[in-house]
Parts: sequence; C-alpha cells; structure tokens
Amino acid sequence: MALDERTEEIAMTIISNAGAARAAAFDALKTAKTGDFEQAETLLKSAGEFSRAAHKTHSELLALYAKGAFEGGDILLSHAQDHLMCAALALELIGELIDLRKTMRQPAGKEEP
Amino acid sequence: MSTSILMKKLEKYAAAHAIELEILARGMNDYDDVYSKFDVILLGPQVSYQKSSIENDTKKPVAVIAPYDYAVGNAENIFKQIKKLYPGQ
Repeated sequence: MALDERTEEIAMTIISNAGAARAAAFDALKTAKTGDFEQAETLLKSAGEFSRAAHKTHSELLALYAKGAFEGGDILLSHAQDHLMCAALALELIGELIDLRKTMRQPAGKEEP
Repeated sequence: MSTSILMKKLEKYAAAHAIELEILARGMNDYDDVYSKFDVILLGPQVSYQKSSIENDTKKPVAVIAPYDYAVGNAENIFKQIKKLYPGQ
C-alpha cells in the first residue's frame, strides 16, 4: 500500500474511532440524565474502548514518523488529531459530569465526605 | 472533511456499479437547506448520538455508518445500508 493511502487509512481509522468514542460518551451523558447510571456506565466503557482503538492507531502513526517513513504535515492527519482531542476531552468531562449527577442523586446525609 | 473523503469513495463505487444517485456530505449545522432534496440520510459515527433528533427534524430515514466501514470506506456495506433505508431504489 502506498504511503499516502496508508496515512489516509490511519487518519480515517482515528477519525471514526474517536468519533464513535465521542458519540458514545454523549450518549452516556444523555442516559445519565434519565437516571439510568448502569446503562450510562456501559456506554462510557464502550466510549473508552473506541478511544483506546483510536489512540492505538495514533501510536502506529507516531511509530511511522519515528522511523522516518513520512514527514508529516498532512492536513487530513491533523484533522484526525482534532477529532482525537475532542473525543478525549469529551470522555474525561462526561465521566466527571456523570459522577456529579450520581453524587447529587444521593439522599441527604449520605454524601461522601 | 473526512466525510467528503468517504463521499468520493461512495461516488466511485456508484459509478463502477452503474448506480445513479446524488451524494452530498454536510456538517451537523449545515443540512437544513439540503436534506429535503434527498431520500436517505447517513450519519458518520462521530454524530451517531444525534440520530433521533435528526430523524425528528427531517422525517427522513436515517442510519449511522459503522466506525469500521467509515474508516476503510467500505462502500459495499454502506450501499447495503442505503438499500435497507430505501428499498424502492
């Protein structure tokens, strides 16, 4: 496979996995709003798996770069990086938001110290 | 942007299989003025959580492209999805 085809495939793999991670994280947030924390947890887990897949591909890219196989500076790859960062931030923040909702749901007097 | 790349792959597949159709890639905030001219809407995996709101907005058949099909541009699978959404074709 030609290098530009390979980098395009890497970029598209990162974008789709990062995208799926972000989508699952937002789904989890929506679900937590309804009070279904168990399902929210499942969705967050699936978001984490997509995110790991995206990061794994990103590492492959860095390995290619380290070997000197390509010079970088590809606009599609930076677009992919944009998706990756958005997803990572969404995951982190949404995890916190769901925790917050959980804490708020606890009956008075039972808050964690 | 990535959706435009997928769009080109779909157009290529359609041309190779003599399927006549028009495909347009649009962002989430940019479909209001065009969706009425189309029969089906496919979502990239990154916006799958918007599926029900888009269904409500547009009253069109909507499906989410699987992450793997999106990544490798698996036009064959995506056309299967389109046929399911729009069996009249």
